[in-house]
Amino acid sequence: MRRSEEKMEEDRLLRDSARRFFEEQRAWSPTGKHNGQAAYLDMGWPGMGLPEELGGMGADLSQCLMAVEEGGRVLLPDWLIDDVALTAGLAPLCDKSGMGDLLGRVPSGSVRFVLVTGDRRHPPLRLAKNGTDATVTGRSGLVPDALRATHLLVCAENAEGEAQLAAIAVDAADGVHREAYHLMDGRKAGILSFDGAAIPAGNVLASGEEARQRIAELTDLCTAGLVADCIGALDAGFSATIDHLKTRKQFGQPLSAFQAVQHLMADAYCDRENLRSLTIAMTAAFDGPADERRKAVSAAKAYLGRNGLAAASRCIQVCGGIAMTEEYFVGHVYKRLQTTAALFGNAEDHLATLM
Amino acid sequence: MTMDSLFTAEEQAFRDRVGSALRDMLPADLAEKTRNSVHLSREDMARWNRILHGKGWSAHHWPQEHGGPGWSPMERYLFESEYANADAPPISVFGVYLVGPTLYTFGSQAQKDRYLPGILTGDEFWCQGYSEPEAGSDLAALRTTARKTETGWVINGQKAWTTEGHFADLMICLARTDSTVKQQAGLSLFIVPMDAPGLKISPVITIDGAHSVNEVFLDNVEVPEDALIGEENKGWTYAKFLLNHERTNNAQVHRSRREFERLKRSAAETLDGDGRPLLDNPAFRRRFAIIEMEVRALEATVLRILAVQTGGKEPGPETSIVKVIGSRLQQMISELAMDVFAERAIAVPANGLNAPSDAAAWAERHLFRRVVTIYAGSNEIQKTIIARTALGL
Ligand SMILES: Cc1cc2nc3c(=O)[nH]c(=O)nc-3n(C[C@H](O)[C@H](O)[C@H](O)COP(=O)(O)OP(=O)(O)OC[C@H]3O[C@@H](n4cnc5c(N)ncnc54)[C@H](O)[C@@H]3O)c2cc1C
Repeated sequence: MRRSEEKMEEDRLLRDSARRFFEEQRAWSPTGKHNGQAAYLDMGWPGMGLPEELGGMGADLSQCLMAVEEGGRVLLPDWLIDDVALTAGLAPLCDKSGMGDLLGRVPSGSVRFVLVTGDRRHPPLRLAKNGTDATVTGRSGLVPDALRATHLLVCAENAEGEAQLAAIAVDAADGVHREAYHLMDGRKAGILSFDGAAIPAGNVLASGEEARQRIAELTDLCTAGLVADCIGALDAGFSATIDHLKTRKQFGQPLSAFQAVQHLMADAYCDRENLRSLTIAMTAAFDGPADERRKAVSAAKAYLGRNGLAAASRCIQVCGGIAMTEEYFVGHVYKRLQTTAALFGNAEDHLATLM
Repeated sequence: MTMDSLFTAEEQAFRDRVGSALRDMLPADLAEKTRNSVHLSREDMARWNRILHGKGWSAHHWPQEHGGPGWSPMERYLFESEYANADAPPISVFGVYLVGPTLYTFGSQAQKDRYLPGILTGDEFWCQGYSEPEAGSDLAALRTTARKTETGWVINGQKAWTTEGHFADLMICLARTDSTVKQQAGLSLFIVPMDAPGLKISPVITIDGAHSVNEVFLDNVEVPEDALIGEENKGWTYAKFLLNHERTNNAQVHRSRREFERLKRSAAETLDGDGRPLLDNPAFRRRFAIIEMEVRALEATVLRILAVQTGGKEPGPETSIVKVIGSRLQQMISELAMDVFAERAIAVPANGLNAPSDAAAWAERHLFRRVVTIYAGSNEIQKTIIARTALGL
């Protein structure tokens, strides 16, 4: 978990520039209209975790998650988890058929991968190979950045229950349907249905044990991205709440003077700090054994869905009625966390895998 | 239902009688709306109010002399329980729960004659104009003033959070009539028509995306002399009486029980990743069991309070207790619903073609429900009351 002086200096520069960028270009506003377009393309962030030979910035996971976290602070409506967190784990796939070329186009934004997993409450996606072709059937769970993706990394199983990881170009395959969804927090997502979509067998990047390991890691990366985003959102929610408590007066005193309010916020702070600790531990666990990584990710994601959400709800509580309005930032933080809590497995799902 | 052993045979017979009558009276579309929406329209509430009034049940907790059925506290409890079980829509609380009892307790005969019938029939809707931007928990600090004139009163100020103000006909408005005395001693209660010249209203959208609350601006609004309820400068006493009524209602014990049963059914119909009903999944079973325990505790506590009231006493700190535990329970139930419905609770198809779903209704309910620990006297304020009055701290 310890980082070198040099890395820490790099981290600081990255965080500062990311924060400045988001605050200047994509500041949150009640109307939900962030000004500026996906200008972080100019920052070279898509694929920032890819090695330099592939056009990336060679950032490590901690730095990638930091960028995602900074986006969370302004409740960025665009998803960074696929562009930034997921792609950080794609380099090992670069020698698979066609992937080197595709990955090289990630930094410019002309290729965008998303991870497509099955709906946890339904049978997994099916992939059947027959000779030089393969077909995919089934319906995915919610896929955060599905609507902007050019390429899908599909996590499926064959009839024998062996894991299969396939890359599918959205435009090239018949039988791939995308449905758009509005999420509770105002972001958009999609669900993909595969209606016997036929792909060249060469697009199956990995099968069996190798696929299982890759899918587990990529899923963990996306989940880690979601947690990092919420840490940012929660931090910003805290700042807004603390400001409000110091300025609003009732009974002739600022709300911050009431011990009941102080204690609620102290509880929330303990939860927030624990969540941050779990996030740091989670990030470090990507360098260790898969089983430990999975547990570290599940602990952070489950904690987010329970205590993180509880902390956000306490922010609403101490702000009072004003935080119940669409105009106010703090309620949106709560919605961000509530939405995220349900993606890539909710707290109950992750608690179940923790033991 | 639950805990039959707590009710006598007569009480059980009463419950069955009102229950089957309610189910007969209730139009199916209104039951459906009650299940699927958080905020009902005036039309829907008025329609149901009229039906209830036809049976003499629209103000079920009022005494007979004012047009209620004159039921005992226990009979009211049983009626409310059957009401929730039938998925009957809640009628607007302000007229029936707040204004009615205030007027028949403190109002003049002329005011009772003029306003109680409209509440009973549901033809007139009320809103509550107490809170202001700078006066939330510290309600007594409110700044809206009412100045006496030759013919009546002139009201100036701004009200916040006025629920249902956009379709109400009348507001019960708390305003300052004397600024030379202690804050609480200079307030009075007024009846203000929402179409009075100088009154402006603007919507406030809440985090569930809905419009139920408003800001109300009063700019030299003139009301007649008899708009004053009771005596001048007694408004605080009356308002506190009113708030106590509001809080007992806010336990929402029956609605919580009903929601919990419905959620349990949804969990039995939803499969987890292993193809097993969620209700049989050990983690969910346990969470449902915990809420079953909590619902039972609240039911038992509310019944204890009823026993006290039946003995003829006014409710005291007990109303704070049920407000605190009742509101927390409401939040626990909707939190569990979010986990039961998982991804389905946070996503709606962008094409908007789907019929309103159970999951979407739970999501809206869940978001709006953050308010139940804030309004009607925040839970922190209630806990201070409990510490002071029940514990003597
Ligand atoms: C959706 C909604 C509907 C409403 N409907 C109506 C309505 O129809 N009519 C109406 O008149 N009002 C209505 N209200 C207003 C409601 O009663 C107030 O929101 C409530 O009184 C709290 O006031 P506040 O929001 O200003 O919060 P504040 O008073 O600013 O409180 C903020 C926080 O500080 C805490 N706090 C404040 N003082 C203390 C203290 N002394 N000790 C410890 N903690 C303290 C509170 O518990 C809360 O957590 C509504 C509010 C909402 C949000």
